[in-house]
Amino acid sequence: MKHIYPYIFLLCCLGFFSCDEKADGGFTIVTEEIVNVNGTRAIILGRILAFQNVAVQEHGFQFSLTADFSDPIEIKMGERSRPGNFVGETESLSLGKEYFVRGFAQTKSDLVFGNTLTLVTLKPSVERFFPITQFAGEIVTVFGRGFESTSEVFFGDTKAEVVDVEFGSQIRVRVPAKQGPNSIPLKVVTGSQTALAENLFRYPTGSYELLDIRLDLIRFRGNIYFQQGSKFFVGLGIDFRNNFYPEIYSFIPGESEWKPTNYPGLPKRKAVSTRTGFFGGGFQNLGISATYSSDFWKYENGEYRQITSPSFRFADAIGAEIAGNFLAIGGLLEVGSLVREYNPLLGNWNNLPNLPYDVTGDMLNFTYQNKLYIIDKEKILWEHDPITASAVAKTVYPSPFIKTVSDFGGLAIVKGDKAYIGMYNSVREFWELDLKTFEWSAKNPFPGEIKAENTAIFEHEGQLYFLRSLLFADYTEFWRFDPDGL
Amino acid sequence: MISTSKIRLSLFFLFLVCLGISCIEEYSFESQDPGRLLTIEGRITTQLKKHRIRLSRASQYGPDFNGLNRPESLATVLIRDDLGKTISLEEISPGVYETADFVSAEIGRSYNLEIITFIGGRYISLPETIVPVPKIDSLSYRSVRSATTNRLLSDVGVQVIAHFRDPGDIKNYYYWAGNESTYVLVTQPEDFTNPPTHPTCPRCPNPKPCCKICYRKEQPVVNIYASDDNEFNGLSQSRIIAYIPDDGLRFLDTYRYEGSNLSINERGNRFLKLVDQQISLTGSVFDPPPANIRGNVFSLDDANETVLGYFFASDEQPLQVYIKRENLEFVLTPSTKIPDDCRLSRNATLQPPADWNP
Repeated sequence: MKHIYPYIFLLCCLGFFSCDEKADGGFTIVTEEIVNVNGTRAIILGRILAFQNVAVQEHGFQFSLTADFSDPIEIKMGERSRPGNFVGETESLSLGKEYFVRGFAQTKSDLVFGNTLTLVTLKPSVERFFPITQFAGEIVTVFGRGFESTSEVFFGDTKAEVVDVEFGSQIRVRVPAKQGPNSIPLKVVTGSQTALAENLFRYPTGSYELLDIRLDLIRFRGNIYFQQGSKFFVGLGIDFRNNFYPEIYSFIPGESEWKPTNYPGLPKRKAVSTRTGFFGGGFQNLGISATYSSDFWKYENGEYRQITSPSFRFADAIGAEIAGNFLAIGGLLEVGSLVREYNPLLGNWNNLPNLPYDVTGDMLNFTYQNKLYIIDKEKILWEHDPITASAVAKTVYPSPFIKTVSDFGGLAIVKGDKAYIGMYNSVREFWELDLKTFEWSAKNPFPGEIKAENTAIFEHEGQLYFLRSLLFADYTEFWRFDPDGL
Repeated sequence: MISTSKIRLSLFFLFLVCLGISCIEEYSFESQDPGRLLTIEGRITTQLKKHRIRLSRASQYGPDFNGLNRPESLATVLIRDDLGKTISLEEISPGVYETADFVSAEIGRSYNLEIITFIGGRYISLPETIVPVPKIDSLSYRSVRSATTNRLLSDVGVQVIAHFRDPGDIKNYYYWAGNESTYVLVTQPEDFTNPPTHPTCPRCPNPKPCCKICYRKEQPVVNIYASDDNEFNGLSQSRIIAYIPDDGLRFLDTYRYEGSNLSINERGNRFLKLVDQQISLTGSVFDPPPANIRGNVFSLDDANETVLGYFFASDEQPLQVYIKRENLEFVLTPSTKIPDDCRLSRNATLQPPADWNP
């Protein structure tokens, strides 16, 4: 009998340990992070934390407009056995609302919720559209946010054809025919909400007039041009038969012809020149080993005055007058980023910091508020401060370049706070650039003969005047352009 | 005469030796094949420029060569901010995507990288919020010499040191990345000799008249310099932000180091620290164990799919310093000789960069 107690003890032990049951492992749900919210779409990251596999029959996320999750929108992601991350995505939220979101998991016996996060869906808005002027039938891209795939775009009251809606933030739309005023509001209707563009959409303007004052038997190439007051100057360079022009001609709007100005210097081509009357350098003759032409000039008070020549050679370089000083920049003969400044008061040349890139005279350039602007061969418009040597990329010329064909030969001029840029070789596009906002507006395309080279551009009383030497006729056309003409 | 017993003994010994050797069997293993994992490298910063993202597929590491990492081409790559603005990137070369225009990120905004691969796989990064980077006041440099496992050879290089004050009121994380740099390449064209295959005068001296001095661009040496301000919160600091080994060519004249001072967050700092730790493994018993380095990009189709790499959104301060030979205490001696025209060296041109101003 006394041996029975160990057996009883063993039985109790076995009974105690045999009470273990196979049970679902404990786990925790974490609503980890709101990854992205855009329009009606939200992406949420959740995690199941556990030390072992879990038996989850359903898991996912709940979205609700109320903190008590009444009438929630559910993303269900099915069964799951392994702990770890899970990601939910919905595109059925309403625009401009605050939502509460939490992860959930349903086991055989329990419904487990994670912590609650909040998110706000974006209201639709139009950030900008490009281009801000466009021709009827062409494409405008509207940039913004919160655009549903069913968004509609209106130009004024006219519904436009939506080509596609991409990424909830870009709508490509075809401009409808003009049916009223030139400037009209642009709005996007998405869901039940309307987003209005801040700026008005404008149909392109600009009228061209071929003046009856042409330069017969003259076709310029590698020439200079400048303007003083209302007087235009163009000359030097060579003609299309490689003959040098020894003269500079002038014209005053209202007169009927271009008149010679009795330039006293030797002829030269590819001289560096400003739009204000400084010029010099260039070549005396033709060919790869052409001789440098070292004299420099300033036209003022009705006469040409020779100025000191720099110790560096400039040909096919960029010239600009900034703060009253003559800057000669880059070119073919010295380092292409070299900058030298002529001070007309002291009559001497100074070194300025180099540009951070090489330039040649065929790159479009203009000055505005003592800064130099250059469009490089990659179409980037650089703003350059020659004093601080800073260069900032401001915008990109919006028309395509055809390398070595249409990336040179264009025109650029400033009128007020607008720059007019374009008409590169073999193309008709002409653009207006707002120098405050750096937004481009298309102008009506040039209607004249395209087989011509631009030789000069001037501005007078709000109108632009430009010269184009024809390739297949022995004269130079003289055009007037009204930027606001219809 | 060799006795029969000795022969037997020798044969028995040989048998034992053969038995011992024959026990060694090749242990072949196959590493787990995780497939070719998508790898993301790139960042968007507050600098106005074209920003790049590189996508590739990592190859499996194992005893067999499985090929190189392959570029992930024809993907749709977007960067979105928390206001819904979308920046699309174009593929400029296989697997390299660049913003179409010059763009800059904004401090305070959050950015997601979104990728749709050609076969429809969708990936997104966690939102990265840009915080301002404490500005570096100045840069200096010094040459250093350190011992190597070869007693006869020392490792010589130049440390670039940043001087700045860490703001004390907030937690700051720093990442100093190297960019493409330029140095004056000096060669010896006057020592040029004919090649051994020359038909009439092999290996004969044949000095070239040009050129001795060129400017060579090179990609940065891969080093990770990241830090948090745990040890110097609110204090003025001088930290090493780059190390450029002297290969006998770099410091013959002037070397222009270019880099970026970038702001990152705690997650990015942890990622960089782990990567640095793992690429610094030497195989010794004191090495830390291999780690699973999590990036910040995941699959929208399967959140547990491993995606390698990290998408950074950072405030950026460009850095530049000219390292001049005359200021270096140590340089590698003897220097490397290139007895040829310097223009024939890779990435070397006669023209200095337009903004070269030592």
